[in-house]
Amino acid sequence: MKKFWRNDGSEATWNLRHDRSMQAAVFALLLCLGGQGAFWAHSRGIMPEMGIVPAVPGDRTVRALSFGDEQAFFRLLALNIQNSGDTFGRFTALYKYDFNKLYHWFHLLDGLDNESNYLPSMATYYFSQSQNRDDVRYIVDYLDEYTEGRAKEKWWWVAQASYLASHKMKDDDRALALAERLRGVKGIPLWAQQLAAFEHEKRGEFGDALAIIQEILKDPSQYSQGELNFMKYFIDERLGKLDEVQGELKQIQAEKDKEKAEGKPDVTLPNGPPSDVGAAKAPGGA
Amino acid sequence: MFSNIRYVLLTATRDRLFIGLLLGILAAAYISSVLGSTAMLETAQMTLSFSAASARVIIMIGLIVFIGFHMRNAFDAREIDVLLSRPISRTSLVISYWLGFITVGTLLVIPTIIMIYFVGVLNMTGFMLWSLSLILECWLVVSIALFASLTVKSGVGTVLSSLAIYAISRMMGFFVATTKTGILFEAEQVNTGARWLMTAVSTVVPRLDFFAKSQWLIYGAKSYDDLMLFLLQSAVFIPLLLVASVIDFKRKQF
Repeated sequence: MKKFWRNDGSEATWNLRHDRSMQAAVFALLLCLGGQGAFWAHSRGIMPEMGIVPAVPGDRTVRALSFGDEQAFFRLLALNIQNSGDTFGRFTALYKYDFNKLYHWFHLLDGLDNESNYLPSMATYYFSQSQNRDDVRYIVDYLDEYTEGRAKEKWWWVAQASYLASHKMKDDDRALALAERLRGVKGIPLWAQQLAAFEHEKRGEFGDALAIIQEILKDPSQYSQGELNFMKYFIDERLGKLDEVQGELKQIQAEKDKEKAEGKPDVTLPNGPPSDVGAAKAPGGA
Repeated sequence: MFSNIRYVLLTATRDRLFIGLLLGILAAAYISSVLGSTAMLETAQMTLSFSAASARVIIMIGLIVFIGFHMRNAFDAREIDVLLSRPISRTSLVISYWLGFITVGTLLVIPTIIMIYFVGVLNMTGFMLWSLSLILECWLVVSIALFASLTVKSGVGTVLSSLAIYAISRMMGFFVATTKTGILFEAEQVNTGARWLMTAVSTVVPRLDFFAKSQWLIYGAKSYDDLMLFLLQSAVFIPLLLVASVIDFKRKQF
């Protein structure tokens, strides 16, 4: 019988080297290590598929996975979309993104929170910079639907959609249709209300542009002397229609002068973007 | 009764539950602030909702695990037998355990509320609503875990069943809404069956989706209904679970 125990001085020591079962175990370990090495050599070139825009889940799936806290899940998914394509040390050019998927993501996430300005800002300031002009259509479509029925509350995004349609998509009809949504909306900056007039002017429809300016002129409590000066300039220099509203303008100017003589302060209305849309501000916070 | 509450608190301290979970919550808040700072807009809202949601999940899971194994240990080490040999009724014993566990839970929730306050309050009313609902959610989860620990005969089983009830409770609103649409399955009979089944299940499962919504922290509550819903759910379901636990415990043979 093979001797498994060897006396080493006073202490009995297990001689593992001569244990058959241990030898078999070590051999098996080396075999497995070799197998792992072979597998590594075979699989080292296989990388996980890192898509750009993740597949859009269903509305029900998202609601189920939110575990009753849709706001937290909305933020998590929105951040995921912001970082899509730029993970694992990658940087992906915007023209490579699937904008149809992005559009559906925006829609899906709007279902969880359509008050947040996070998605429209991401769409407007970032994704609209795609090198592919056709992609911008998805952004404009999204902004159009996002602002539907709440032009006063979300006027900034209507103006952005109109701008993108006009300057990126070169679709003046779409730009005008969007700008028309801001026509006559009180309480928003005057330039946003006049946006449709600028579009009409661009298309050579000076009569329509004048009609919008005249609508605004009817309520002097809504604009300052500076705004009045601009509207005079716009009608005179850019529309060439000063003669048609000369009397009206003189009357408004007289009213403004009278108010000034009485010491009434001039109208001050916000002219810049809302504070929560992430837009750059002019020096001084204007 | 008070000695048992103190004992639960001592056990929680001994098991480093407070330090462990609070460190976890702080780490989650830090990660949330890092994640939030990478957002191109609404960074404060991002940080707040991530911190609040992660802290809630950490507290609830921590409490379930603690209660599950604390109670199992009490049964296995015959602590319950010793306690029952004293002049204390079974009802008092169950209530003292519940009080001990909700004290532990509340002691975990209060620092979390303070931390969320420092993360940044965007809507004070919503913050107060969220804080109150987090405390009540914690008490409800304690009741669920205590009930499970008295009825299920293994620690792991208690933890898993409590986690399952917690997850289903948070998803209950979704389940009810989905089955009500009646378009989940092709066959009408299956839809009707699913609707009945879900209606039956929803009568005995609490609606935890009414509790601790991150959107309150950002936009505030929509109406008093938000408050009433979780107050009523707690007022009904916590006593229900406690009574069920007491009845089950009274029937137990030692």
